Amino acid sequence: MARRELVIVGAVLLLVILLAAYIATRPGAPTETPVTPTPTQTPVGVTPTPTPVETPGATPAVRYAEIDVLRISQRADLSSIDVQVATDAPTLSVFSHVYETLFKIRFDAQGRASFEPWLVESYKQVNDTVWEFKLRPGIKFHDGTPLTSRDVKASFERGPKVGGLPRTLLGPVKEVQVVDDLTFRIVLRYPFVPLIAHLSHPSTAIIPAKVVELFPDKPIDSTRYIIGTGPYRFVEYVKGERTVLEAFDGYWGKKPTVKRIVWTPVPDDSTRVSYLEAGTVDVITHVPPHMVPTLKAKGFQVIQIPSTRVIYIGINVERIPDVRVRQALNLAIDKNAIVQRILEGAGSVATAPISPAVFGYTKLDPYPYDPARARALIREAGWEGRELVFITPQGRYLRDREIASAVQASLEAIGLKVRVEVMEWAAYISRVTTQKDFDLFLLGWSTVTLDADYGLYSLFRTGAPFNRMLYSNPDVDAFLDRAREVADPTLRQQYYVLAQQQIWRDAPWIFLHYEDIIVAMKPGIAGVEIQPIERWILTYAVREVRG
Amino acid sequence: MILSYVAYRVLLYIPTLLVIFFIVFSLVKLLPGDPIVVMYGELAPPPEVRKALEEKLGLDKPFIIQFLLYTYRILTGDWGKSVHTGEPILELVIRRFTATLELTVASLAIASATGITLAYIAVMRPNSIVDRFIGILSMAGYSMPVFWWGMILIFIFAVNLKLLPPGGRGGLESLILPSLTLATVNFGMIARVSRAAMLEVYSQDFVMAARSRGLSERRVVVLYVMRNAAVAIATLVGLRFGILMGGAVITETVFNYPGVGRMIVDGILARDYPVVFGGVVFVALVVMTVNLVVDLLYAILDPRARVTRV
Repeated sequence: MARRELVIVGAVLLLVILLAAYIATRPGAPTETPVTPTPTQTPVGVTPTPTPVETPGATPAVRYAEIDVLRISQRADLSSIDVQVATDAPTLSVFSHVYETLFKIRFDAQGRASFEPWLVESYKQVNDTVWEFKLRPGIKFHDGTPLTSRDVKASFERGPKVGGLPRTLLGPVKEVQVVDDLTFRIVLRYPFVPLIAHLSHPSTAIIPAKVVELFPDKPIDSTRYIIGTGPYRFVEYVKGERTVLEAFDGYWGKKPTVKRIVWTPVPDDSTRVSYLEAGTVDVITHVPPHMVPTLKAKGFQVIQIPSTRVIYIGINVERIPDVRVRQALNLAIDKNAIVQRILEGAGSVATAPISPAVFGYTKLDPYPYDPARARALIREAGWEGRELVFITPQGRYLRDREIASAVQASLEAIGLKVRVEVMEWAAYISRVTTQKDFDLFLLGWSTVTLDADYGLYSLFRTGAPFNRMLYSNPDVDAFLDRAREVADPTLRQQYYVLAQQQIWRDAPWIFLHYEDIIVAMKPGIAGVEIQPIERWILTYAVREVRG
Repeated sequence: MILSYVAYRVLLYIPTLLVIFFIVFSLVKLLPGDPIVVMYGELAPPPEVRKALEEKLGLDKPFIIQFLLYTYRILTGDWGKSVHTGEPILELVIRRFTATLELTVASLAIASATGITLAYIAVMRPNSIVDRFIGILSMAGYSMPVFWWGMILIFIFAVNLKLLPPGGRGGLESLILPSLTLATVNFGMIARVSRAAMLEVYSQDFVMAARSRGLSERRVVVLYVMRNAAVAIATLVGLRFGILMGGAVITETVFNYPGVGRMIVDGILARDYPVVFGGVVFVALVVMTVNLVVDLLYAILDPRARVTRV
C-alpha cells in the first residue's frame, strides 16, 4: 500500500517536473543564459527617428503611418493628478504630453542637452536678476482660453506653495511681473544662470490661471482640472487601470501622429513583460534586465540608455566625520560587480556625483575596489568593529535591496559591523527626511534639469534641502554659489569641476552607479523619444507599413 | 423569528465595524510616514505646505479626534476622496469591489463544482487509486504558489497561444485566467473537506438504513450523504468567500486585476488614508453580510440550527 502510494506520488511529481521542463525550454521561454552587458547602450536620448510620415524615405519599401491608439505600460500609476505636486518619472511622463513649459529640452547626437524657447518666442536678460520673456501668440489651453502672461504668473506663484519640485526649481524666482498679455518679466532673488534649464522642467509647466484661482495652495481634486497647452488632452483616468490622452485639435505646434495614448500601470515586472509579449500593449517601460535577451530573441525592440539617475549611499557626515572612514567605505565596494551581477548590466559605475548627460559633469576616477586599503584606513581611524546603521528602501530603485545586502557584506569584510534596515518607501523616506539616527542611507537622484546646479547645489551645499548627509565644505559652497551667478558656460563648467573633485575627495556618499533605462516595444514602431531623464515622449510615434 | 434574528445580526454590525475600524485606523496611523511624505518623493515637503496639507487632511488633530471625525464621516456617507488622485472613495471602492466580486464568484463556482464533484467520485470508491489520485490533486492544488501558477497560465494562454489577455479587467475573457488560478487553490480545499465530511456521514446509521431499504449507492450519496455534509461544505465555501472578498492580492498583482485587495495595499503603501479606511470598512461590511447569509443557510440546510439560534 505504502509502496503504491509512493509510486503514484512519484509519477505525479515526475509529470509535473517534465511539464515544467517542457514549458521552460520552449522556444522564447526565459532561459538562464548569462546576460552579457548589452552593447545597445547608445550614449543618450535615443530616438529611432523615422523618415517623416508623408515623404517616402530612402528605402522605398518602408513607409510610416500614423497610429490610432498607442498603448503603453509603466511600472506605476499616476502618483498625483496635479502636475505641480507630482515628483515621480512615470507621472511626469504622462503630464509631459498634456502640459508644456516655457522652454524645451533637446538632445543632440552626443546626448548633450540644450534648451530651446517653446511657449516663449523670445527672451532677453535685462540685468543680473531680471529676465524678460515674450510668449508665442496664438497658444490655447485645452479649454479654449488663450495662454497669457497672467497664467505664467499664476502658475509660478502657486507651484512653490503646493509642490516640492516647483519649490526647488522656482526657488530663485522672486516674482513674475506681467507687462502685457504676452510679455512678462521674471525677477530673481539672486543671479541664477540655470533659470532656463529650470523653466524646461514639467513641474514648471504653465497651468491656467483659473485653475490656480480654484486651488491656490492645495492639490487639484479632480481630473477635470487637468488643463494644459500640450498636444494631448486628458480624457480619462481610472485609478490603477488606465489613463487616456487624446490628441488636442487646437494644438499650436506640429500635429501629433498618435491620436490616442492609453497608459496602463502594471506594477509587476513579469506581468508587464507578458503584456508586451501577448500584444496587450505596444510599449513597456522599466523592463527587468534579465528579460532583455528574451525580448530581443522574440523580435521586440529593446532600447537601453543610461539615465541621469545616480544611485548613492549617503553617509551621515555628523556621525562619520572622519574622511578616511568615508573613503574606506568607497574603497570597500566593488561597484563593477554590483553593476554586472546585481543590475545585470543595466547601469554603469558612477564617474561623478552627476551623470554625463548633465551640463557641468566631469569624469572622475571611481574609487578602486581595494578592500585591503579600506581595511587599513578603518584600522588607522580606529573604527574597527564599529557598528553602522544602514537604512534602505525596497522596490524603489532597481534591485535596491540586493545592492544593500552586497554593500553590507563588503563593509563587514573590511572590519565594520553593518545593521541593514530594509523599509517600505513611505516609512523610509519619512525617516530619512525627519531623523538622523542612521549612518548610511540608499537613495537615487536624477538631475532632471540637466544642469549641475540641480544635482549638486541642492544635495551638497551646506544646509541645502536635500543635503541629508549634513555635509559641509566651505570651498564646495563657494564653487556652487559662484557657478549659479556667472553667465560664461566655460567658467561655470570649471567651478563645477572643482566642486565635484572636492566632493569626490570628501566622500559624503558611497558613489555607486547610474541606472539604465530599458524600454521595449513592438517591432515596427518608431519615433518614440526616450529621454535620459526617464521621460518617454510618444507624441510623434509612427508605425511601419510594409509594401 | 428569522426577521428578528436578521435584525439582531445587522445591529451587531455597528459595534463590530467600530472595533474593526478602530484597529485598522490605529495600525495605519502607527505606520511611520504619511500621505504628504509620499506625495513629495525624494523631496522634502516645504513646512508651510506640510502645515496646510495637514490641516486639510486633518492630520494636525489628536489621534482620537481624527478617529471620531473619520467615523462620523464614514457613518454619514462622506467617504472622501483619494489624497493623491482625488477620486471619490465610494465610487472607487464600489468599482474595485465589483471586480473582486466577479473574480470571487467565478473562482468559487469553478472550485466548488470541481471540488464537490471530485469529492463525490472519491467517496464512491474510498481508498481506491482514484481516491488517492484525487487526494494528491487536491493537495497539489492548494499547495501551489499562486503567483507561480498564475505566471504559468499567463505564459501558456496569453503569451504563447495568445488566446486570453494576460491581465487587466475587460470582458469575460479577462476573468478566465485569474479565476482559474484562484479556483486551483480553492478546489483542493473544498474537495478534501467535502470528502471528509461525506465519509463521516457515510458511517452513520441512517445511511445504512437508507441502503438497507434498497436505494442505489448513488441515490444514497446524493440524497443522504451530500445533504448532510452540506453544512460543512457551506461553512468552508462561505469562509473562502469572505476571505476572497477581502481581495486576493497576489492573484490581483500577477494578473494586474483591479480588485479591492490591491487597492487597499496600494492605499497603505501610499498612505492614502481615505482609500484604506473606505476599503476596509466596505470589505468588513461585505464579509459580515456573507457570514450572516451563511448562518441563515445553516438554518435551511440543518433544521436543528433553527432552534438553537437566538
